[in-house]
Amino acid sequence: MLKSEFELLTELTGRIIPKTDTPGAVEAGVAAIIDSTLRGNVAKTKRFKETLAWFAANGTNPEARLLLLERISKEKGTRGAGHFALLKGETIDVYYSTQEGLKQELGWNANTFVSEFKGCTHPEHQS
Amino acid sequence: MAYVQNSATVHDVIVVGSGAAGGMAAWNLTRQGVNVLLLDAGSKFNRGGFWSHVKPWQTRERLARGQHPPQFHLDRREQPYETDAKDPFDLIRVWGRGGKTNIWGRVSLRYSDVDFEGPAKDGWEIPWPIRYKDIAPYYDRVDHLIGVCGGDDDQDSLPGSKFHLPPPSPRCGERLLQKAGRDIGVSIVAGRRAVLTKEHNGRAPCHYCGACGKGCDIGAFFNSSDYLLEPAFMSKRLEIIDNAVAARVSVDDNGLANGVQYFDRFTRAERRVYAKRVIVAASCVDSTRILLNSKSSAYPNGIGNTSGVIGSYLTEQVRFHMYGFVPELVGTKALNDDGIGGEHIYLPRFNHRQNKKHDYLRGYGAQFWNTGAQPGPGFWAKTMPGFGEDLKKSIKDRFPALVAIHPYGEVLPRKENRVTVEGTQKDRYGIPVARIEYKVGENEKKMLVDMYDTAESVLKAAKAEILPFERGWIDKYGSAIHEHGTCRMGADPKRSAVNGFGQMHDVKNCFVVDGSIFTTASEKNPTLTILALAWRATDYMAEQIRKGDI
Repeated sequence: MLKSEFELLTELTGRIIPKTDTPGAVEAGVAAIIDSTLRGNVAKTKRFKETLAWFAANGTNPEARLLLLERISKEKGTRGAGHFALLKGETIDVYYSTQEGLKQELGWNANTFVSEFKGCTHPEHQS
Repeated sequence: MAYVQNSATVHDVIVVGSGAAGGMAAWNLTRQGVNVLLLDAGSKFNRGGFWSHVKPWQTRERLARGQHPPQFHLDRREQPYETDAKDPFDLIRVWGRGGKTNIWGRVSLRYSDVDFEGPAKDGWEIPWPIRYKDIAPYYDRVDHLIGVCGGDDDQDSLPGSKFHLPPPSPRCGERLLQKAGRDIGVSIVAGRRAVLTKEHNGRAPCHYCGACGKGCDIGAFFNSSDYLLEPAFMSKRLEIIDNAVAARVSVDDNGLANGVQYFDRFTRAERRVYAKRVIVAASCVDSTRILLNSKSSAYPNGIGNTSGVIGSYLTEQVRFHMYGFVPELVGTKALNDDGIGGEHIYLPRFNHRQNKKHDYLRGYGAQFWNTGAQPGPGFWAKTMPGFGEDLKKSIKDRFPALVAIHPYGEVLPRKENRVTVEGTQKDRYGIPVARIEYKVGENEKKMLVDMYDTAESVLKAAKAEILPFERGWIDKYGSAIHEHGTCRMGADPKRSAVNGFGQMHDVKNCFVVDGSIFTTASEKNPTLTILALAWRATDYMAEQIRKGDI
């Protein structure tokens, strides 16, 4: 991936999952992980390059691209909607598999050793 | 001409396959004084190398460093099979000690007489030659041997067990689904799973890491390697040949089985081993491939296939998945919902008790895995609208609230659903591979209407925000990994291949003991019944040996 493509991907993934009180896609390094998954995958690389080229052509600066995202996120069946779905889907899959996304953001704290599984202990759910 | 190594030894019994069926056969025979040679297409998996406690982000880092977990699933490129391009059948195989029990779902449901009597009552295809009373003592023994947790909430379609270990507590979402079921008159009971919820037979209990699909690093769920083959080794009557890919069962001039031809998985060298009896337990499709390829002048259509039924009547279950979010849990703090991995509850078949006439035969049950705060939320998270902070919040809010229902419906056995080897490509050893032809029929399509109604009713009763679904969609053929029926048991030798003990009608010293001998598939997971049938079959075989009948 070219430097310009990587910078654009970083910006867009950060728009999809921004930093709030927890890290976002940029802080979680989502773009670098996506980039690593493209190596050796010709078809996926081609699709991503096309998507990034489309964003670069249709939004020449970050503000324009934000407006573009807002528009295509509401569309169905258009080219823009397809590019949005690819970008969003990949960002979500990667972000929520990182420590920042899965553990810090969602609070997942499992896959560990516990001596007892208590299950649901909420009194209101026991009836 | 290739050199073929022939072993001079004539073993008491050769067992082909080391999974639930082969492991049980080897264990039960060796403890009764029978010497067993077992052929395993793979070798023992390194338990210390399981990635049971490797987090998702660590998995990516390890893979980037070039590390890999044990490869349980057989690569189709190594051992191909043919299937329809438009309606492909996914055949999941594990070559290696313990077979698919290394990674199985551990759902351990007893068949009931609702299942065993089904074909006799509705007249679809042949009746089972056994009833629940015949197999019940073996279910008890299996439960006690392997350790099955479950409730005492048995039903006519789901017999209980006096040996059940304590069931794990339900997760929040599961409790809400059970309540929803009660509200609409659908009983959702404790699941029955072969997971040790307390120390059992000297084995350590589950530590609830939830990563069972990567193999259990302490053996807290049943697998054939640890629970059957290792104890069988202690008898000193078990010998295992690793990486032995069985090709054919050979017969003598009298038409009796006398050995097995196999190929070394890596050197591809052909070898032959001999025995007084042979047990085929290589899993449904591979056993069928071996039997059909075992042609001789006595059995030109494959060993034991005078009836012509071997290969036909392939059946499994039809299933789909429906997801939602229960409002009580939206926006709550995520809990550790791992438990014993997979669901803690089960919806047993109930349609036979409904006061309405169905336009289909047989029935369905439902499982609930993925309920709760589970890793891998991407499949539903990307269906949330928009992007940015709103998207991030909507995903976080829903993460603890996911509930899932996975109905499984019986697929009727049909002659045209079949495994064949005629005219197929050859594998790397020069042996014809299996071709799988399989489709669900009108009966299943009608039952799916009911299955969708039930799943939707349960989620609606839970007031769940149901994720979009396409009514009538079914999971890929083979996805349940419950192939049955291609060497079915029955009382009529013209319409079945084996009797109720897995003994071939044609070849009295050749037994088949895996899922291929099921007369029907029911809606239930088969492993517990495979274990019970294999135990019963090898008790019978041992008795026949003692009497000198085989």
